[in-house]
Amino acid sequence: MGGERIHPRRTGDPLTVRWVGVELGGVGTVTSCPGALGEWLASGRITAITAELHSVWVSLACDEWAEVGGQVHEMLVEVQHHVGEIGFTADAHLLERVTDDVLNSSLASYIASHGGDIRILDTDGDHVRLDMGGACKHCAAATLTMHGRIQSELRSRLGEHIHVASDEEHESIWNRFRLRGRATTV
Amino acid sequence: MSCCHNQAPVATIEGAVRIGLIGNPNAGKSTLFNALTGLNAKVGNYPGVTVARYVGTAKVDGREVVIEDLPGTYSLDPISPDEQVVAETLDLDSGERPDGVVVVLDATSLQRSLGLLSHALQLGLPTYAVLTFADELARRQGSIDPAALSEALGIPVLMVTAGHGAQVMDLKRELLDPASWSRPVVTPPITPSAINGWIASVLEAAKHKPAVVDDRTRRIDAVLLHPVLGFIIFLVAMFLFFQTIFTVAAPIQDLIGDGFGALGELVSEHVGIDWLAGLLAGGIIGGVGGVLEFIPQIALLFLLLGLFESTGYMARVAYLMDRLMGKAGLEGRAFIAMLSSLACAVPGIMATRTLPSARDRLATMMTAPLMTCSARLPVYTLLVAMLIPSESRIWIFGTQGVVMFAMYLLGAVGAMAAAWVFKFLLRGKGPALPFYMEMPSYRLPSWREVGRSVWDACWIFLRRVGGIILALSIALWILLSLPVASEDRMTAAGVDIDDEVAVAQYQLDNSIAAGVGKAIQPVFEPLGFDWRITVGLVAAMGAREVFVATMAQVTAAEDEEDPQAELTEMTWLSGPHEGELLFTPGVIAGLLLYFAFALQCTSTVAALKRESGSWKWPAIAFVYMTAMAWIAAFIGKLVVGALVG
Repeated sequence: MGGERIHPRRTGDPLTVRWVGVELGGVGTVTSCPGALGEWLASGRITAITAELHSVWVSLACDEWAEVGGQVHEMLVEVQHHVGEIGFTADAHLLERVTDDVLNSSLASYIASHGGDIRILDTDGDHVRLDMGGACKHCAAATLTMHGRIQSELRSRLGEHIHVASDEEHESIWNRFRLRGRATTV
Repeated sequence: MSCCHNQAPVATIEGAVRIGLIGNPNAGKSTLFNALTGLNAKVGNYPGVTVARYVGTAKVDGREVVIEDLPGTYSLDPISPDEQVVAETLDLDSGERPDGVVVVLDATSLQRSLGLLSHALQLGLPTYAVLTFADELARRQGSIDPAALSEALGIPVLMVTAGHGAQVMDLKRELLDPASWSRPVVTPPITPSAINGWIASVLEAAKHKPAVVDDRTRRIDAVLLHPVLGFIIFLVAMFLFFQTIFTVAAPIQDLIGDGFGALGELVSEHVGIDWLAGLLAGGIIGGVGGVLEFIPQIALLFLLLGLFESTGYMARVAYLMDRLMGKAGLEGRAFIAMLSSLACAVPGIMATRTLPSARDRLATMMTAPLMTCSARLPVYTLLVAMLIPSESRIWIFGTQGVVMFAMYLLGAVGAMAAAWVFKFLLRGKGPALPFYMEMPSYRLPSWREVGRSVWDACWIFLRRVGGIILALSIALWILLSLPVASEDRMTAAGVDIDDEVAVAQYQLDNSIAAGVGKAIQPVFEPLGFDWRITVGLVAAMGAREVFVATMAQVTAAEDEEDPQAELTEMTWLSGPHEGELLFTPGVIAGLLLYFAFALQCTSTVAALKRESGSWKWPAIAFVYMTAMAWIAAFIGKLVVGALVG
């Protein structure tokens, strides 16, 4: 099976599909890669390939995914045999993009079911700041959601160096006691 | 209901949304179909193929959705006529293409079910996934997140448990607008290894924990599924069961019999009008009462079948039989159809829908009626009691029970042998199809379930008695009582009009029924059947139990005192054998064999016609089974007659 353990998912952009399960051996924007995938990238038929740890975002220029999906699938399977030859650069927007994805797909129903409304305030390198709104504003478990769920999901997708924090005004009493002078180990 | 060419005028409503239901066999698809359509389903046939077609309508929010329950398939790559039908219906060029497809997936076997889904998604139709057996999955420590699965698949997913109406209602609403269902951005891959990768990836994303086989089941199965030991255990269980039928049911049966006897006497004494008394006592109470006596047997039979089903043992039996059935060229699933036929051949014939191969289906349909159905039970009980005294024993086992067991065995062996012949005759293209089935975990029987099936069976039996059996009994009574012999006629024939028994016998011997019976008698005379037995056989074509009713009526007509004893002492009334004992051991053996093999049930004929799509097959079944019955009865009479007399 090897590199075939993958499946495609919609994103907010009709030209972009996230292929879950693809591991390119690095995180960030792909600058060059071997094989047919590299050719499409070089020719501009694929406008961007951005890698997380275990999935990859592929954006097409103007092809229809319904038509070329199968080919891209094969190319992705193929390129995983040559991970050493793939070139990456850091992608400043990747963290925001992934956080957005987490908040709006995987954790969306969980958050909504609790009446929460979480938005991204800003990102800075490996740190992302969230606005825990809605019911989250006064929730004692907000930190738990933030660290236990959102942060761990982000770390599983982008690496252990990711940190999630919320706007300081929204810290509850519990958070203040926990954060002072002690590293949170959630 | 069919027009010419046997094509089903299947219900289609102009402008209504059409949904196709597909899924693996045994995924709970038909249960879902029934839940969605209620009793609004029509059965037809796909043109040119012996595949039944089920279409129904679901009503929701004042609108209607037409739902077609397509045959269960493992893949849309057709290797059998049924899968062919599914592939053709869903084909791009088909005029019958549905607006949306609901794929039923068994949550306890997602690895396999998702394979079918991957094929279905290639069709480019709006697709909705329904996960069934959610409770079974939970019970076996498995789990899945339907929302995450939906995200990973790109299509809507609903998890249902049988019996939860609210979920079905939700699903129905969704069916109204297939165009609104989410679609996957890229269709799944098509090569087998890529599909497996896709399945693994999707299941991982859905946090799937597969169900485990529970330990107790595994240990029990080590014994019960053992090819030799398991089979022996099954045979022993069946044998003991038949012993029970005779020891437990018999006294209850006698009670009921005595009760009806007393009732009959009461009626004859107190009802003034002669003919009415005769009709009530003889025609109705005599005829119907004679059959009602057998409720204990029926109840016990269905108790056993219900226990098998409820505990999960039934599936093991099918698996064990698969090897044996393989020798007859059939598969284990055919055994389920055959086992259902022990209750009644009609559901057994309908159960052949689960067989993927049309050839298997036909062979099983044409031979399932040979299995000893519950209608034969009263007839066998009566005849065996006449043939063998109840005290007789073989070692510690009652001989009556042994003979009953032997009759059931004969039915089973006969059915398998006949199926083998049919498969041979129908041989054509097509490789042997793989057979595998899900074994449910063992569980304690649900007494509600079992009680329900026993109750349903008894109720159906009572309805038969109140319906066709009563009607035939009355008809017979009329035919046996007319024309009323005048005293002059009798005196002229040399009958002493003061001798009640002689008068009754003359009346009987010259009735309309006698006329009909005597006309047909020559066919059955070599078997030792007189016109009364012949009339009984003919009447039994409506329902086998009527034979018992007929015999009860005929003996009551002659001597109302003790019909039971009368039977054993009946003698030929006229003709070359006049005065000789009618029910000799040879004749009884012949009768038993006749009933074992003959096709005597209009309901079965109707079911055969419905499921096979034409009259050709029921006609063939009727002819071959009647011939088999006649020959077997002849041989039986000769052999037993020579041995015993």
